[in-house]
Amino acid sequence: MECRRFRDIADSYLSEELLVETNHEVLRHLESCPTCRAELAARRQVRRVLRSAFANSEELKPSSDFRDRVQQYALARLAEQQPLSRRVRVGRWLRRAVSPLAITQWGSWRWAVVAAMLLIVVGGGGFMLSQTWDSDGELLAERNSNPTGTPSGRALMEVAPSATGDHRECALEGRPEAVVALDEAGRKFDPVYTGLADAVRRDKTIVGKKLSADVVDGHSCVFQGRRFGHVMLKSATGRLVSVLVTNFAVNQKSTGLARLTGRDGTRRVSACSSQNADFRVACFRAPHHAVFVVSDLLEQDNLALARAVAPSLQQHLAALGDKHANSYTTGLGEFWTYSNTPTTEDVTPGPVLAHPLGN
Amino acid sequence: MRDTVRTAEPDAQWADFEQVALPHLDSLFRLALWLERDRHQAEDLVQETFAQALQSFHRFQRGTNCRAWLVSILQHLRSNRRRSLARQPPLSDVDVGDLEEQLAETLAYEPPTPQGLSEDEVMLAVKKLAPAFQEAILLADVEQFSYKEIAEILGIPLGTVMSRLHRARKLLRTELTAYANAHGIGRGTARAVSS
Repeated sequence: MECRRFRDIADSYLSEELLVETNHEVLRHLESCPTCRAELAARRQVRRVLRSAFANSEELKPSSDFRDRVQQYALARLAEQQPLSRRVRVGRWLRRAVSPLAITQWGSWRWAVVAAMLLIVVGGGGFMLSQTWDSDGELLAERNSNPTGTPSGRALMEVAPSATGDHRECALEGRPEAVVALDEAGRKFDPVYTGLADAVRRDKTIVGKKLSADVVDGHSCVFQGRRFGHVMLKSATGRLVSVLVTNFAVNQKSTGLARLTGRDGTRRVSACSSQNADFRVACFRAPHHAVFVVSDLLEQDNLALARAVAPSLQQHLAALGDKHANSYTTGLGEFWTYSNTPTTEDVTPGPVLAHPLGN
Repeated sequence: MRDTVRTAEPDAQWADFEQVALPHLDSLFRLALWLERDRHQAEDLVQETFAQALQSFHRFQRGTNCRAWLVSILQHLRSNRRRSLARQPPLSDVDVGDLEEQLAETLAYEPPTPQGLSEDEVMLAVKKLAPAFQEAILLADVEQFSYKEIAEILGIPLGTVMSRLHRARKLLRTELTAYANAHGIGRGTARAVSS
């Protein structure tokens, strides 16, 4: 072993990262080279001094009450996690959650919001609660239904795990996949991605609630083969919220969640909400897309945020989604089609990008 | 997605967490404060780290490196905050490319690592490095995480960790040598070694 080679790997030797054989080579070299022995000792001393400096530094020590404050804060955050149950008592609960909301008017449209609670219980089954509210947030009607009993509900539930996975991997863990700027994604994949962040930014504040959220990032990314338009917001409490838009083909004759205009001509947004141990997901539909709002906020806050962004997002998706051709190429060079004409299947969740290597 | 029925037992949860995770509080705070350079931000970051760790403690595998797990959470929070504030992607090695040129000039001849430097002097030299390099040296040489653990914490490939550390350590030695030369300190020079 030459001295130059030794100097290159000396630090890894000190970090015990070398292979056994390489360690033996280093030791043999040190036996016969006093210069490298001195260099190793000097580097070892620098590390020792650095570790000691950090351990002894008064300015780097936390205050005496910091541990108590950490305990109080961590337990308070843990207490915010509402226990999950098989049944949700609506009425008072949802009214409390939604009454402070300001329902947005958009242009000549008058929006009424339908809030629906959806819980999937372990082992299958569950129910969805739908509510109709007027523009003042007054409850008009409510009903229960089984979300897995509708093709649209089943399809949304199939896609929801991908949305939560993307939120975790991309927003929280900073490991996005196949990231493309929204404008570029709008040209390459789906025109609705263009201007998506602005559509979310519009009317995002909920009046009367402490919850407000600012758009902090927008891009398009892929999770488990599904491409999303991904707009990230930061709540007033510093929590990250993901608004994820993905292609979601549907039979125009489908009812329930797919209906966007009530019989009285009012525009409706039908939202459903679900949660697992880590995240809350609120989802709603547009003609050719599904929108998922994912966060670890309290469920009523996450749902409220979803309903706040729904009107402008639906407007954006309805306007640009129709421009989407029946077929387009993915960035990977794959070619796939979707159709909004009636088929034998009520709903298809939308195609998943095929990996060019077949993974 | 499936609901799970959980029984709320915060006291039991905290007792377990306190025993396993809380001993690393000071270590995490030191790291956060050094990297953030602001005590309030460091406190917020560490509080949030431990809050998230407590909520996710059911996912932590006992027997594995808890400190590495906590630092991993802290690093993710830092990345998110950095991205939300500056709307920039996480630091890549390309961002410190201008230092490559300085490094290239020193590669032709590597002087011996100076000895006898004090804690303050070594800390001062570390502070002169680019943030990505400071981070790498702190994790590897102070906190003594393995290269593999650092790769998981930072969410970067193992090869990137190794090359970043290699450059960081070389640059640190360059800083130490420059300081030692300016102050007449060096190998063989009689000087009391501090701490």
